[in-house]
Amino acid sequence: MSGGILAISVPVGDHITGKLFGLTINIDDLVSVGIAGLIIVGLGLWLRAKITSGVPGKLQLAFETIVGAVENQVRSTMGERGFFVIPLCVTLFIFILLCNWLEMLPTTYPGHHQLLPAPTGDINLTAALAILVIVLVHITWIRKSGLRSYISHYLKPNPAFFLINVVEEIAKPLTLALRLFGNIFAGGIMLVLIADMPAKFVLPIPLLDFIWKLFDGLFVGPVQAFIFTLLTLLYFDSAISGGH
Amino acid sequence: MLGVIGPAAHTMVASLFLLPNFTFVLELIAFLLVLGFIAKYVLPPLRKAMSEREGSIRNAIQAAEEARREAGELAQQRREALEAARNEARQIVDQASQLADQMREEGRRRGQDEYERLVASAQSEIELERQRARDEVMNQVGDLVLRAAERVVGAGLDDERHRALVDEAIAAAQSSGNGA
Repeated sequence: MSGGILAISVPVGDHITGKLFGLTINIDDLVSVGIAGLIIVGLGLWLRAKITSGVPGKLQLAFETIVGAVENQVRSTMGERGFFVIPLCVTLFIFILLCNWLEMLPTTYPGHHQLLPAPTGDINLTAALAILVIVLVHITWIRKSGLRSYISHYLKPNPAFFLINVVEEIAKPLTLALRLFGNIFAGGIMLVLIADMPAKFVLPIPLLDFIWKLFDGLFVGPVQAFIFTLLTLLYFDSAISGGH
Repeated sequence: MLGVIGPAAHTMVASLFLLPNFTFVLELIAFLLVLGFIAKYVLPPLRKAMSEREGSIRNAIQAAEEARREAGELAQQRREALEAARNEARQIVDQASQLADQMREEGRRRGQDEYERLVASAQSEIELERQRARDEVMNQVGDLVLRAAERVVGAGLDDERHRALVDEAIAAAQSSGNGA
């Protein structure tokens, strides 16, 4: 090293916070979620206005690709009885994908944290989605196979496994939330690191930034959205088929 | 050295950043709103359009199959009709040429008959005429001979009797003439 220490202060999980009803809220994440939601609603309204059973436009084609992929996946795992999860899975995929892509916006400056972070890089959103999914999975499970069968699944193959089964059920939302959070959060840290890099590096910072965003946007974002949706689907499948 | 994770203030926040705060609830509500919107306003018309398109494509393919089958049938029918027409035409031509042959033959035959009839009637007429001429000549010859004999004999010959005699002589001369 050249003597000096390049101490970069990376604001991990630092957010612009505010208070609502005396409770802490992350304003930047809420703004991001709001923007993502508005984009989806806007696209949805646009789609509704232009929807056709003839030759679809690009937007409709994109939506149809997602819906068709989810529908095929549901059909091949659960069959027609699993069609009720299609809206949830489609929305999850589009929502998470858009939230991940918000990181593409150039809102990261040296010395600042991200002005408009991907809300999926914050535990609040991923935990909310994961817990929503898991609660719905358990409700579906109880409704499909009855409370008795639901409870008895914790004692299989024999009561000694009770603890392991409980841990497994708790691990599901945890891993679901933390996987998405970790991946997107790491991407955000990378952006902050790149933005704070001293200018003497070989590659200019905008280029590094661009390369990283390309990777993040093309691979990490879609893959994480896909994994979250697929796992949701698999959990529902397992709930419908009685925990197998 | 890169990424010395910073001052104490940040580490303190960092120790808390895995704990959700009230943002959790608001974001959950936001997601549920989006979910409701998608489920109620976007997916139903989208899936309807998709299934309609599927149906119309299926119909179009079926119609195309049908049309192709019909076209094949029509082509087959056309081929058969063409073949039948060709056969019929050939038959008609055959019949016509047969008829023409017949008519030509008949015409020829009729012409021949007519010719022969004409020739025959001409011959018989000629024969008749010749016969008549000869008879006439013979009569006149008989008269001449009779008159000549009258002169020579100098007496009147009984017409009736001598006439028979002359005729006899003429017949004899005729037969000898024919024989010669």
